[in-house]
Amino acid sequence: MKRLLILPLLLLAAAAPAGKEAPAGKPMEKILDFASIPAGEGWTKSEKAEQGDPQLRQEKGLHVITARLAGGPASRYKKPAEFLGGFEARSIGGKPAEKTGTAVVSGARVVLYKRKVPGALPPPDESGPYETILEHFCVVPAGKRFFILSYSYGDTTPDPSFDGERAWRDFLKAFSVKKR
Amino acid sequence: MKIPRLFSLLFFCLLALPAWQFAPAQTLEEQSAEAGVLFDGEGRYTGTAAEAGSSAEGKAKLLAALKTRVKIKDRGNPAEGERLNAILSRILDAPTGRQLATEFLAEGARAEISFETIPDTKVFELNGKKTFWTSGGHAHTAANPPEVHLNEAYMQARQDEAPITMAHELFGHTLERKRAERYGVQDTYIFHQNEEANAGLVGWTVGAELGQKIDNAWAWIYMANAEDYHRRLKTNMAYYAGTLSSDEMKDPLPAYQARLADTDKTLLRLPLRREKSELWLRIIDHLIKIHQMAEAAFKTLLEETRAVLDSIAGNENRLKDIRGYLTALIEKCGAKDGQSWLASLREKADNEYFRERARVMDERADALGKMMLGRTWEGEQPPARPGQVTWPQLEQIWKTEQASACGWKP
Repeated sequence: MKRLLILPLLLLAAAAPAGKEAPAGKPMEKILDFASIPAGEGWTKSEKAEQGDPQLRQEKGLHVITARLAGGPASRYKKPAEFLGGFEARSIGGKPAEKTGTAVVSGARVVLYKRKVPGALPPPDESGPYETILEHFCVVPAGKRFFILSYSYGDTTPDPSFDGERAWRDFLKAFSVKKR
Repeated sequence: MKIPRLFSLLFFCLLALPAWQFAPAQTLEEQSAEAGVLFDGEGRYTGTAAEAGSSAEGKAKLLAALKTRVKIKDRGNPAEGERLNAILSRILDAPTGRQLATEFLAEGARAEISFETIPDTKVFELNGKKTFWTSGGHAHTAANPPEVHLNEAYMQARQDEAPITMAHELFGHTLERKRAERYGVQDTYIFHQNEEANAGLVGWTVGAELGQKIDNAWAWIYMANAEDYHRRLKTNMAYYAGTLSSDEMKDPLPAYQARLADTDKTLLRLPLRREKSELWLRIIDHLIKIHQMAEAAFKTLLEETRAVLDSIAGNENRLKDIRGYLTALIEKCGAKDGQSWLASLREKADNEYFRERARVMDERADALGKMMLGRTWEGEQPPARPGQVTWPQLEQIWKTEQASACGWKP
């Protein structure tokens, strides 16, 4: 019952416009000040802001692992529940992400999710079929803030030469929130 | 969708002209005077969107007024005229449709609408429904009057979606051109990334208000992460690769250079994609021929993999188009005759038009988000063939094979 009461509030918060450009001013926080983020061999790293949050993106071919620190002053999401109720935690069509299990990440047991996201798309005026790929993600508490960790492989044909999901599990084991 | 024809025009203008020169925008008063001549004796439409929504008579009045500014061309086929009239009428069943129709009239905008034969369109049945997969339509906003063309396949299929496409083209693109003229940014607004996003939001919102399922993947991407929407659009078609945020308009060169580098990176991945698909074909072939697995069980994976291989040439051409356009824009940024264009972008980046557009888009996205999350759906997939090996199963078989004593290398 409580969930039913909370849901409309989450929907309202989650439906907030996504298009606003991040306010200029303060320099972006360094995400590595907040967590020890493991780096695998052969992965390239880049840091940038994603919807107001500092994010570290690691890529190996089409395998992508991201660590994003949400809940900060410029974040679209102040609480994990806002993120989990919003578009970024749902499959295309709006179905909430599917729970696939749990894992201990940085000392906390967290729920692992997967959702279907669009892959390659036809031009916006065409209605042809589009590819969907899987995104795996979880939310890890970090004091008053939280990390959104994710893994995806950007193609519908899997990579026969590299086990990305294993790399993801190894990443989760080694990820550690710093005490501040 | 902003048309290939406009894109070609834009491309050649960029390359050939030292600076674009447009006729000065008419004032609203001039537009009003001109509009008065076109009205059918009742004078200018003075109603509001709310009045139009309150009764059938109110909606009929708004439709009549709209048709004094929107000429329906039936190409000699009265059935097409009737269908276009029905599409305009259906748009006015949506509150956003009525609001934008009154804004279209207040702005003094005009358009001619018609169906058009879109090359390579085939109407076919999918899950018992007629459909087609080519462009739904486009707007020639620089024409006088602007022209909106809908795919004539809407006469046979996806009729419910035609009002969404019409609203996108007529109110998202054509009305916006008129607004841009009023603000004096008609030469720069087409370089702004929100030009397409705004039209997208208009169409999706009208569709949602008409009770339709929002199954356009671009809509879900935009609502999840507008930055991701813009990033993806810029690698989708050459025209979009040249569009800019307000900040980037002040200094486009670094943005174009970064996109060119990304395009080159994506181009380099295509041979790897080909290699990977060919590797899976060899693995499947090995499993069938050496390990006696049933060939029929791999039919779906073989079809998918061959479709990926077939799509690579098209993707390469598209990326090369993007590369060519970005290269031309980068050259333009460094050329003497490109400086006035750069100055115009820089000067107009902070124009009120762009701020107002972003504000309205945020409001529209807010309303649309509530509608989309209030009415979710699960993807409709064609029924899967029974007894087919899936990708996760094939990956597991391949892992087992590698760990076995077989010793075969693909």
